[in-house]
Amino acid sequence: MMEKLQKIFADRAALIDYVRALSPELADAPVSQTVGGRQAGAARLAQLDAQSYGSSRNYLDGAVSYLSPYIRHGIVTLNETRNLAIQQGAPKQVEKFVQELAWRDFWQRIYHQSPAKIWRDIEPYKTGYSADHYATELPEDIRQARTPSAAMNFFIKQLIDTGYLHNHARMYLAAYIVHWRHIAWQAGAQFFLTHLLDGDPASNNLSFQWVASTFSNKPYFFNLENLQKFAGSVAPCAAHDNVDFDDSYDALAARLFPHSEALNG
Amino acid sequence: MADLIWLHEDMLRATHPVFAHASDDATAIFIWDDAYFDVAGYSLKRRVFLYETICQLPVDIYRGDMMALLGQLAEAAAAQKIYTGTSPNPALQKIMQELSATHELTQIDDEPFVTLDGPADLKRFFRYWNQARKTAFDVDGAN
Ligand SMILES: Cc1cc2nc3c(=O)[nH]c(=O)nc-3n(C[C@H](O)[C@H](O)[C@H](O)COP(=O)(O)OP(=O)(O)OC[C@H]3O[C@@H](n4cnc5c(N)ncnc54)[C@H](O)[C@@H]3O)c2cc1C
Repeated sequence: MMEKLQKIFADRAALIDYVRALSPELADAPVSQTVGGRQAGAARLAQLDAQSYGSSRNYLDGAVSYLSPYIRHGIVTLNETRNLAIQQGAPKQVEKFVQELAWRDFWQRIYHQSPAKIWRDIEPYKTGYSADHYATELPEDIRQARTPSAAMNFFIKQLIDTGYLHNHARMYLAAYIVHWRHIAWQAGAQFFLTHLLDGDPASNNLSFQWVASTFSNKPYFFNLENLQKFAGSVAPCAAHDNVDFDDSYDALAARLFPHSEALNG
Repeated sequence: MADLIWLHEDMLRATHPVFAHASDDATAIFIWDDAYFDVAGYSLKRRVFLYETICQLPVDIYRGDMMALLGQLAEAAAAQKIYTGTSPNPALQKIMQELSATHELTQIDDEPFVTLDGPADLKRFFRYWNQARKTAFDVDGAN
């Protein structure tokens, strides 16, 4: 007998209980407030502000769209999102937003072209370290949001509880994992894919490779000043809670990449 | 004989072009494959998001191994043709490949974002963007 599953539920709580029962080994894990389905995706689309996006998108409280889980699973298309964005302003005014949609299209094309490559380093690291320097397991303090950095712990908790992180928070956390903690990008990427509702092997792994420098010309890293500027209104960014980042870019480069001449010029 | 539409996790929309390609009386299904989600490492919240999405679609949800159930469901519906959406995911591609050996399987692309006038240059994003921008600001990515 083929097992046909239930589709109609009294409310969201009943649906969640049903999925918990389908996955008993995960039953005590958190569920996001973000609601699935076309209706919820369309409601997000209706709130799009492609013009404000351009100037505020790098701030954690900026006018980003929160469309990613819907786009990831084809619930909302890049095409319809762009069609709406270009109604909201001239190409110059909505360029940044349309360009971010193109990032997804770009990563998907690479994935389509070489699906098997998605877990491999596309190029060598440009950090002064070779790939075998990086640990392959994600440490427990990262999994449990107990790192020495309050901001990183805040991002990890948010990732686990909501299944979403702002792009800049993803960059910070990925850079922390790879460059401060010397963990291979693959271990960080799998952790993200487990929790992000928009988790996508192409966007996620290739962005991780961009941060790591295996798909870019240099590693991405940040300092406290940058963290405070873009994340300060949302995350705990006080210097005494985030000492690892409290330095100039030159000093951090010397500390993080001591063997790289290019980064310590 | 009705067609079978197989929706997978990359195409969870009732307006996906696959529906226009299959016959009007086609049966549409989604297969809830616990092992597939386990391999991908999906947390409970990802599974809830997907389940909630699928419940709103005109599909029947069956639980089990994707490959095995697709064969059984095609047989049960006496379906000559199976339609699905293209996917870059190697796990889904493998199933599509195996299915094509025994069934007439058609993979339908989702609507495009841009139209390129040559092969995509994927070495770095900005090379690609220089090609894509020519239609990225046009309705339906076509001028
Ligand atoms: C380490 C790291 C991991 C990431 N993992 C994923 C992932 O698993 N899935 C995912 O969809 N995105 C991923 N991104 C890209 C980006 O962070 C998210 O798409 C974005 O933050 C989602 O929020 P939003 O919908 O509010 O985005 P907005 O800024 O409002 O952008 C609109 C849409 O454009 C697309 N988009 C925007 N920026 C990017 C980008 N840089 N790359 C690819 N697509 C983009 C998304 O579909 C997004 O929904 C990752 C980025 C980094 C740095």
